[in-house]
Amino acid sequence: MLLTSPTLQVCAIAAAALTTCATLLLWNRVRGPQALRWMARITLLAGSYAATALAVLLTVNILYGGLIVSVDDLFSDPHAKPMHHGGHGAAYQHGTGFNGGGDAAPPGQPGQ
Amino acid sequence: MSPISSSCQTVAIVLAFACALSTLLLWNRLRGPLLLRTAARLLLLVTGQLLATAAILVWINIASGGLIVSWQDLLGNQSTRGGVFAGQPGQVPALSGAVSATPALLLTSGQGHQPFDAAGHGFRVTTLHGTASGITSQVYVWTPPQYAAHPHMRFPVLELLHGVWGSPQGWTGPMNVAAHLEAAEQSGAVHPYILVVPELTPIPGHTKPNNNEECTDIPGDAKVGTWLTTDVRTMVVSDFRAEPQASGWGLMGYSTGGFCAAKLVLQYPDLYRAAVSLAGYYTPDSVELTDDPDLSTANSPLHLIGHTRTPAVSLLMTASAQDPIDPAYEATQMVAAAEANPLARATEVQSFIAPVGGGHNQTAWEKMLPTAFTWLSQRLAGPTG
Repeated sequence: MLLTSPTLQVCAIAAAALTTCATLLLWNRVRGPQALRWMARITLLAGSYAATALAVLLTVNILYGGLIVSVDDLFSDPHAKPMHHGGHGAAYQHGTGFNGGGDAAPPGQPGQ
Repeated sequence: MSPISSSCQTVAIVLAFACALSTLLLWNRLRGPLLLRTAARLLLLVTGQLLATAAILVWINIASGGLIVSWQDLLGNQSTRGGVFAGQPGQVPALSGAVSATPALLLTSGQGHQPFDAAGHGFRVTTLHGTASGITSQVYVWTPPQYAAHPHMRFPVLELLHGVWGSPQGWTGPMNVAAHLEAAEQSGAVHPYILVVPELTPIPGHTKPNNNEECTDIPGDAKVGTWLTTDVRTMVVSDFRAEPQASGWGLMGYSTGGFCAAKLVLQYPDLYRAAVSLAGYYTPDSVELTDDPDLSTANSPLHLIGHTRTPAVSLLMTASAQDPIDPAYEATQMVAAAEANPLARATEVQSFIAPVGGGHNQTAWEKMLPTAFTWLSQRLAGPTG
């Protein structure tokens, strides 16, 4: 899924507006014990906060020229060892030794 | 209070929680007519949402190493767009607003690529099937107004390289590169360039600061170096009236793109005459390269300029003393390494460090563009024909 798609941005903004309206309308309509009502209100509030944050983050990502383009970018492991060095196995072995066992990935430094 | 200070983070979090708590406590305690109460509730709700979002944004900025370091970075205004470098020839007039989309050349077909589509900011985009690299990805192209006005002339090219994370839209949108170029051209000291912006990370999953190819042909894996040089150039030269000689080709990139510009101009002097690195770095960062010490040194601009015979090309490195991610001393280190290496005499290596050049973001880098265009135009050939 493309994180820079205008459709996704519009959906996120709509979701933010919808959760805000839902909070306004449902706040005093929740029935049940006191504790349950407070839980429901906190959920409504947190949901509207999260939806707004998502909409703003998507917009900021687009404004900065698509820093993070796809969902895969977001959730793939930045420290994963490349698994495709089939072509130079010897060099890869060398590199593994160089890094001291191969477990130690270089420290993360996003945003380069 | 700077945007990357822990006090800023604390204040943002405390305010967000205070507003959430106030919303819970005050909701049914508000007095007045229904309309007024609803308005007050909405205000509480939206304020809380925005404060929570601000807290998250501050956290992301700090966790990313400090992309935005000053409020000026964030609120950068038109008046700062003339450039941060004093004493440069060719004063650039204020920008008059949006770039006019110039449909100078609407290609319907071409060798190995799909028709160009409009891509905003006057650019057009195509999906190129690179035959030399086997990579298929996107390339954005912008032609200057002079291109349509002079249908028999050939034009010099600037290949623009984006950062990682990032996409070509980082150049077309937030950098305002076409608007800056058009403004700079009015000074008469800047050539009307064709702008070409290829995808720097065309391999899915290789799109992070620590796992991209850093514009390199990785043995047994993706040939991103060949993609950026041979494939992109072949398409541009065959489908546009572009200068085929190295004297008409320049590179410019920011962050990882700056690393790539410095590296590619040293490795491919037959293809490029000059390069500008905006807030770049000069030793490989990605595990794709650092896993292999030989590959790492062969693709390190610092190693190339310090220990090998380097070609007759020009390299300008700009940096901001405020940038915490790619600090300015890396550019100074490059200049010192070049001066110490007798084999690097043929290469012109310059750095410019802006004391208050902003953080690691496009608002900071776009201020460097007017100077970069002037510097490049002093070293590249203009249009011919």
